[in-house]
Amino acid sequence: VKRRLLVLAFLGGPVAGLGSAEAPGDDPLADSLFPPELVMQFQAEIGLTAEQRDSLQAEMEKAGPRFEDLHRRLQEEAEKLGQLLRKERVDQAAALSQLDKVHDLQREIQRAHLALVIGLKNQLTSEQQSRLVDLRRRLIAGSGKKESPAAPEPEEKGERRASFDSIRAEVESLRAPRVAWREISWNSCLLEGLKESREMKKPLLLWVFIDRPADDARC
Amino acid sequence: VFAGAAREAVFSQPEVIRRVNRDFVPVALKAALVNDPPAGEEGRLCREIGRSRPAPQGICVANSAGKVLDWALMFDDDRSVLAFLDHARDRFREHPDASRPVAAERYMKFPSRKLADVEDTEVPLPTVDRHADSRCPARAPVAPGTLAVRLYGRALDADGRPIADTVRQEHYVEDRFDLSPELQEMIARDLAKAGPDGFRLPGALYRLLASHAFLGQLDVNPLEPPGDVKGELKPGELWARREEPAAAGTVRLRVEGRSEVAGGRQDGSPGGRGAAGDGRIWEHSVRLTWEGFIDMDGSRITRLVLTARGTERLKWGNISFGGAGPDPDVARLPAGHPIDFQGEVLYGLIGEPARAE
Repeated sequence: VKRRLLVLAFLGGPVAGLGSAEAPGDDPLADSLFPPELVMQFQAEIGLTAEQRDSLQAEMEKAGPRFEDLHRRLQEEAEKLGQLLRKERVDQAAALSQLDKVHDLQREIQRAHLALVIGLKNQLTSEQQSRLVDLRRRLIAGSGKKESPAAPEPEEKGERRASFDSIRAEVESLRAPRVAWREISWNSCLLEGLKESREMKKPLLLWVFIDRPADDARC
Repeated sequence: VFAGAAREAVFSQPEVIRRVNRDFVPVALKAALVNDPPAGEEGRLCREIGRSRPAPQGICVANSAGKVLDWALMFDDDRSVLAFLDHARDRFREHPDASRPVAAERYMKFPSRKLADVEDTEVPLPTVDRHADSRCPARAPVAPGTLAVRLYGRALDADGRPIADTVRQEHYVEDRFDLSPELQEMIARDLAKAGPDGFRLPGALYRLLASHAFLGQLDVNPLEPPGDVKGELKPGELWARREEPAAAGTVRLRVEGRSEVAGGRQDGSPGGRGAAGDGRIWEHSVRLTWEGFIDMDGSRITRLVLTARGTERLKWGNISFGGAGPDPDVARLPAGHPIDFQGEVLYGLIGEPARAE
């Protein structure tokens, strides 16, 4: 779900976030929709019935493979677009055509996700929905998200322990969005580098070092 | 140290980044491929690059035929890095391919300390477009069922917020490691035998997590430093207990616990405390409290999220540094810069099934 929400956040626009548990204050629709994991996390607090729970889980399991497939295809098409754009001379027509493919998949994911969260919402009573809105606000306030996404709050002794979503959000907030050395588009394959050197008529710059090739790892 | 120092001091400079992206094809190459080339024609290309190397690690510029134009291990100052890129680019214009022989220039420190050139063998190199066994030797094979774990670590300031600097690894670190299928099966077996109060996670997992959650470059690993020095994994524990599953057929485990590691302390003096004989000054200890979740489907982990917060002490350097400042320095790439950190830290880990090749 988190990954789906991240993709939607990347898309921007009026449905970005679609009920994200992370930042309702930033999303005008956040109070209107509820991500499945939020519902499952607070099932006891909102009095979710066994029938509702089974139904929600069935919906999520049914949607899972489709989202996996859509995201895999989106990653592939986005990577193809990136390859086209990385060239010194960009084939404009090919790049725009590829962008259309990326947008088509993004739109399909957005529609599928909206359909899922609407379906889930429609299974909740109005009391359950009101309770979820309240619980989500408390969750956000407790994680300090509104004040500083990159600064986790100190552990609060005696409070309810962190949920899967809040821990995952905290981990993701630790990752710096831009790290200087990653602005260089390092390749780790010598053969690919030589081929690109021949095609682009540029010299190879080799950073030769022990252990790992350049990636997002410690060195 | 060289890799981390080069990343911090050279490849994080905005103008270097701009020029590398504009004028070069950047390739980060495992030194093992150059120092111990694979068989076949790809190995010939690697061997040719390694033939002129002044040291096992370095920064090298080669032409489109794979002939080395220049090596540099250090630079006189930041401007010398740009001068080196310009110089290498100009040499490429004269020798873009193997049509004319070209000597490899080598600089211990550019431009002030030049070593002897290495002449061209004038033996043609092959043009190779495919790997011999369809797999790039730069990529480590991934066993099916492996869980790929990524770690992000931040040093916190006095207000408990991550320090803004993300260049120096003692402030911000990213790491990755694999959690093997065998270790996942071990957890699944322990889970099957566990009672309602949960179970202690395997010591191998404890060690794996504790040996990656630290700030700084590879060489300051408190448990596995290079050389004969040994770190100490202090008694700790990680417990797991069943929670409501995220999806039917899976098991969600809540993980809690604490860890503590301490590297052997060395003061750099010959025969002194923890002497490694190389002048190393090193002290590293990490105490963490862990919290998070592991989702399991049978004997496989499908998701892992963990945070670990606590305190860390890292002092690192060498008596040979003299009065070297704490900032990354292009004139000291093989040695790096001294580190003196003590404070609160926060780590986050996310694990997902790796794509097997």
